[in-house]
Amino acid sequence: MKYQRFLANKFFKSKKHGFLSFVSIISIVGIIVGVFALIVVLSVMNGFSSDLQEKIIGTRAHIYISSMFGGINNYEKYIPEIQSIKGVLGVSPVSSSEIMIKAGDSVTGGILFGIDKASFEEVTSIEKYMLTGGIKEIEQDEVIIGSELSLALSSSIGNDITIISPNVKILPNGSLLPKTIKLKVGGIIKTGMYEYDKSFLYTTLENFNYLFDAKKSSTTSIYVKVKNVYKTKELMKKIQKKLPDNLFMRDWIDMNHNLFTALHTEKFVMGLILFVIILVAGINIIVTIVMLVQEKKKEIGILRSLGVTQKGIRKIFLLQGIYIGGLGTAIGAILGVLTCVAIKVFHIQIPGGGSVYYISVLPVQFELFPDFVLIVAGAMIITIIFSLIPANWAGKLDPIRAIRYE
Amino acid sequence: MNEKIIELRNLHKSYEIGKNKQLEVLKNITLEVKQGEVVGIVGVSGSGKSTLLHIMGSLDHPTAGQVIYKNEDLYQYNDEVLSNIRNSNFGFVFQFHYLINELTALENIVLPAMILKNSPKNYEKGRTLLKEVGLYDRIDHYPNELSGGELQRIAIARALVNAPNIVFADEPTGELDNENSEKVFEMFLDIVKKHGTTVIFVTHNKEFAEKMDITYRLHYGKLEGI
Repeated sequence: MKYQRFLANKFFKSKKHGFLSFVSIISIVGIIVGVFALIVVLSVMNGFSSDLQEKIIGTRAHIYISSMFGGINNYEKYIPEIQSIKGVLGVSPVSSSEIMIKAGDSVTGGILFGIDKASFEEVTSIEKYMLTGGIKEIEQDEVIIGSELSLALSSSIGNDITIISPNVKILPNGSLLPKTIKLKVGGIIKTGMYEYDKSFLYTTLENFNYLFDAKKSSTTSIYVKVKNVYKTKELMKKIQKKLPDNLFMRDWIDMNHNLFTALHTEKFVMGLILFVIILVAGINIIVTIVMLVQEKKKEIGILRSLGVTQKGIRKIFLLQGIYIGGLGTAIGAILGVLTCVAIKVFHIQIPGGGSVYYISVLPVQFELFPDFVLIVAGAMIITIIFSLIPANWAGKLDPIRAIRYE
Repeated sequence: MNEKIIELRNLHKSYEIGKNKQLEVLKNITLEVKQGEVVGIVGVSGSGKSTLLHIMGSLDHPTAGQVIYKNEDLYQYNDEVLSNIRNSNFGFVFQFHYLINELTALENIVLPAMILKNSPKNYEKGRTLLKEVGLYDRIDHYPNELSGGELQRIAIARALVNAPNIVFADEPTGELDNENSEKVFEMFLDIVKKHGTTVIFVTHNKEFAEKMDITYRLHYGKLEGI
């Protein structure tokens, strides 16, 4: 072992000076709190973003094809052509529109999806969110509703609900008559996304077209599921070549751009704020080492008389800082990772649950790179930079003054 | 005839003690010390004995003049070289033991050798020196577990671990009672003579001074032969 490390170890472990140990502990705790908080908070934010993304991708299409002029007629002719493109996993016609729902005395708004039950499963992972019933088993006179909507309407499996279309007929006396359809609740779905569970309803495309007086072979959009969700733009170019000019496309990223940008910005700002904790802890390290140097002035003089260079003294005290920072970072990182594991394993419920937030369970996604690596590297870099300042000062101490004035 | 090992040429040292005021501690000091000599420097308190010793040992810079060690001016070197010379060529024993409290007796002795080169032989050397100063049974004791005389004997062993050419001793028995003071002094002289080490010994003890090969008095900043 080199003498610098040997002495740094001896000074660091010294139990004689309780006061100094206390200051060192404060510095170490500061780093622990900073690193721990950064890892946990950023992992939860990653989890939140990833969970949201998974649900959005799982319940909605990767690529949406719509018409500039209302619905898409004769959609059947486009489906095989889109399906033939490499990288496309599924294609399905899906109509959607805002509607009103009435069940008993309860009336609320919602979004009705008219689906082709044979192909809908190919474009979404919605089946895995079904509490009861299933997309494939949906009958002509049935509707699948979200779990929150089911609660709001006090309607469960087998109950009738009336769906009221905004498509109205004008009667001879001038009054408006909306078109309605009475359907039985055939399934309940729970995605965990409150907005979805509160307002989404799924029925057959035929029912939808009836309600909106649309042609049998028309749809408002075509959903496309792709193999790689991050390569939708490339596929969109290929699909566009097979479609007439009046049809246009948007992918899941375009549709949720603001949401993901907000999440990304929030994560960045939160990371920045929490990083300040590490900065403060770094300043603590300066104070700790300054106090250590002050206390070890005599030893610095002795070491210089024994032939230790200024560089050697600097290294001894730099190592002290690295020990404090390293210990704090290691403990903080271990605690942070363990907390992330605990959040994942114990499915911690969010107070207020889905009625307040999009999700009911605290999500977490630990990312080794860049988050974890950046946090650990950042903490260590701050430690080294902040330790260098007092270590440099220690190296420049006059050995004679250090000995004489003790 | 022994070779000259260290030489002081027209050495001056002064301190600023206020605006435009200088306190001249050492005035035009010239001295030659030969290999293996035990040189005593006496003088009243505050006469500048320690300052002279520190300058000779490369711990403090002179205001003017030169310290020639092995035919080279010591103060032409940078910190790195000067520290290496101090480590491998010089040994220091101060009035106070200045051992490191966090290290055992053996570790304190071995420390200069570790600074020079990290080798398992260092501990062997340390053990041999501990035997020489009669403290082998205190090998794992920390400074706060040793008496004043024992601490100073450990400090002497530490000064000798790298087999230095010169040992600078700054009143090493000044903090000890008469009995311990004599014991430590005799032991110190025995060891350095056995090792053939040159010694510059600062003291105000006349009896000790008489036992030196040559003694100088520092009087009003000037060095006079006795």
